[in-house]
Amino acid sequence: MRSTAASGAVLMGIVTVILAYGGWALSFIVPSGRDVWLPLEYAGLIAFSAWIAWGALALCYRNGNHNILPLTMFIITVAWLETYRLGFSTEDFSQGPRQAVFIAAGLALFLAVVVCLRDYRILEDYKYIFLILALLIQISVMLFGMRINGATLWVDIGGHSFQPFEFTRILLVFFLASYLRQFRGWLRMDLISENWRLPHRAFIMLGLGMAAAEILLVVQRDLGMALLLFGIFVSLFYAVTNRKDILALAFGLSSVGAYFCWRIYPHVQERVSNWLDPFVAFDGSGYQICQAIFSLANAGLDGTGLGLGGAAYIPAVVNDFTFVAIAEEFGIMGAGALLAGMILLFAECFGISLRVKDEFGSILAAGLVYMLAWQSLINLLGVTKVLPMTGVALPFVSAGGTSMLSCFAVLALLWRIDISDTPLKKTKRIRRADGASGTERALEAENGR
Amino acid sequence: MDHGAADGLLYFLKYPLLILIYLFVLAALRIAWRSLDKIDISGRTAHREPEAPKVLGVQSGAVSAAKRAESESQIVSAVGGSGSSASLSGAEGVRRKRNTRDMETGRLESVSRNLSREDGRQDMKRGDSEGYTVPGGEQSRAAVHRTGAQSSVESSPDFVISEMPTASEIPAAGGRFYIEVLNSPEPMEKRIELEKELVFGRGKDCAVILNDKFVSSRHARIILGPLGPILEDLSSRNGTLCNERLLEAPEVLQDGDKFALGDYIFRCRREA
Repeated sequence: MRSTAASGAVLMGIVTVILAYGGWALSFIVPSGRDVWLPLEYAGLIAFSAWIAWGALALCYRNGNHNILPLTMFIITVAWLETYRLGFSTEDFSQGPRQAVFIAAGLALFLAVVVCLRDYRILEDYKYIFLILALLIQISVMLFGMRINGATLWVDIGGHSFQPFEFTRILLVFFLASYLRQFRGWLRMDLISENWRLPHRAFIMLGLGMAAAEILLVVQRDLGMALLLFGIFVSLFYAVTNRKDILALAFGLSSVGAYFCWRIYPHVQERVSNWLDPFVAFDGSGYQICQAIFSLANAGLDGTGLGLGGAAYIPAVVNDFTFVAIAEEFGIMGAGALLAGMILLFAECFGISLRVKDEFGSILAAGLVYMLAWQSLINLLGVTKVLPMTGVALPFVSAGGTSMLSCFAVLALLWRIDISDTPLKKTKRIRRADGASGTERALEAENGR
Repeated sequence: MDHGAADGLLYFLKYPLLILIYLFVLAALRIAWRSLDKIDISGRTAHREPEAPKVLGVQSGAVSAAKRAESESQIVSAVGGSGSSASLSGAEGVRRKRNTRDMETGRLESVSRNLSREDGRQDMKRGDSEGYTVPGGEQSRAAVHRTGAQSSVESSPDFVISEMPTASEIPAAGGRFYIEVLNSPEPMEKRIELEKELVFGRGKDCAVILNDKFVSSRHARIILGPLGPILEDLSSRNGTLCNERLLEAPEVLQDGDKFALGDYIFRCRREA
């Protein structure tokens, strides 16, 4: 079996050096009157927890892919430096330390899930429970949630708002993966049978479940997450069944759905018009996109340098536009390096999906990576004004505890699937020494009659 | 953003950071290039877990093959043929081709026990000479199973029926029986012809391969008895349901009897 511990250690070492240097560089832009060494201390916290998590996995599970955590930590490190620095400009000095604590908590969750989830295959047995749970959570958000930016997505628990869809999407991926594994044979067949009967119940249940989730998200006006869920569904369906007609169907359905959303929702019309020409509404709703464009234009090849960019003028920059801030201060080179890190991370995770022998594990891993990849894509296309902005967080980059924890949970699941490839200790099935005795008795009874 | 005098210094601080970042990316690219290159998807199987080591069955089959042939030839011949003694004796992975001589004996409705015992012995010997039940060969196969090595070109069709004589050629009591598939998680043929021995299970060596989590690798079998097909549970983990109750002893199936293995539901039918 392969061992990636040595290469992972090299990558972890480079990440540690980046953290140390970044923390030291941040001390130059700390506003006067503040603790100069605080960034370095929190960088130390991140590095320490990352080494603990990585080292524990490298010692206990030698067969795992030890490059995944360093790649993640690379993305997180670059994003954390930028988040910390943006906190200085927006006068939110606890932002960087808070994010560092979230990262440490995420690493602890990662370790806990990897250690505690002994056999991920049990997830396959509860697919309808996952679906119903996800729908219930979304319904309760609709009833009890807070309304921010024209969408009811956040729930307030003890003064901390959090976004439940970060977790319901994982439940929906569980449902999809186990459902597709069970009915993949039927789903490979034609939707309409030869004699024009109703399609098999596999299609109906899947369609109903996904339609319910989609409609809930659209009613909640969480269009980014609806798009994300649709993307996961279509790509996973295609990956499992290899049916190309689903792609055409998906394109048609999403076009129709997008048109009706645009017709029905005023805030969608606003976002589309901001996407087409943000400068018309520079003083209003287009301000965010306009500032993002200015920041990207200011970037250049090597960036303005940490702390010298103007990305803090973008409203809610650490939630949605962190990538733009990174692109401005690290330049196209830095942004490209971040994208390369993401691509390598997703490639390693798709490698898990391709490598693992268990079929459910393969489909689940693919679904989870599709989730991270689609989410990144939707965010990146939104902030660079290729698509309308939808307010989807960038995994591991955007500030926020829910997003960080759920992404680490996804990563832990992927890791768990990877190491479970090695055979589990199975209970031996003992066959009776004379397997035919029962039959013999039956036959003798028959002959006697 | 006014930073004053620190600006010049800050501007140059970014270069070591960029160099470090690119050091990481190049190292990761180099590592990923090597690790992603090794992915081999040709050896994947459709099964949920590697096949269970079949050491127990093979050992008992190989060591006591001769002894077992003695006892089993009785049943087998009573069933209507003696061809499946090798597979009955637990030798996994052996798919016996149809045998004309077995067919001849199979056509006889009721064979006397003496005749069939001799027949069974002869058949056993012939099996040895043909290399079907050579112990060494079996054990080496078992060793391959035990280490979990799987051939890279192994294909796993969803549904396989072995080339054994079909029930239509073996008249059982009161007509010809076949198995109708009422429910299956995956598409499969709606009708399964009965053979002298038809093993249902998830394993690749079964005559009817059922890809379901609740189906054991050798789950149940149907053998043709003089009064009709006999359903027997091969000590499967999740059991076999016959007419909505758990099958404890082998049972003779009548026309219209339903039985279920995991999510699969079958019905035994007699041809008119």
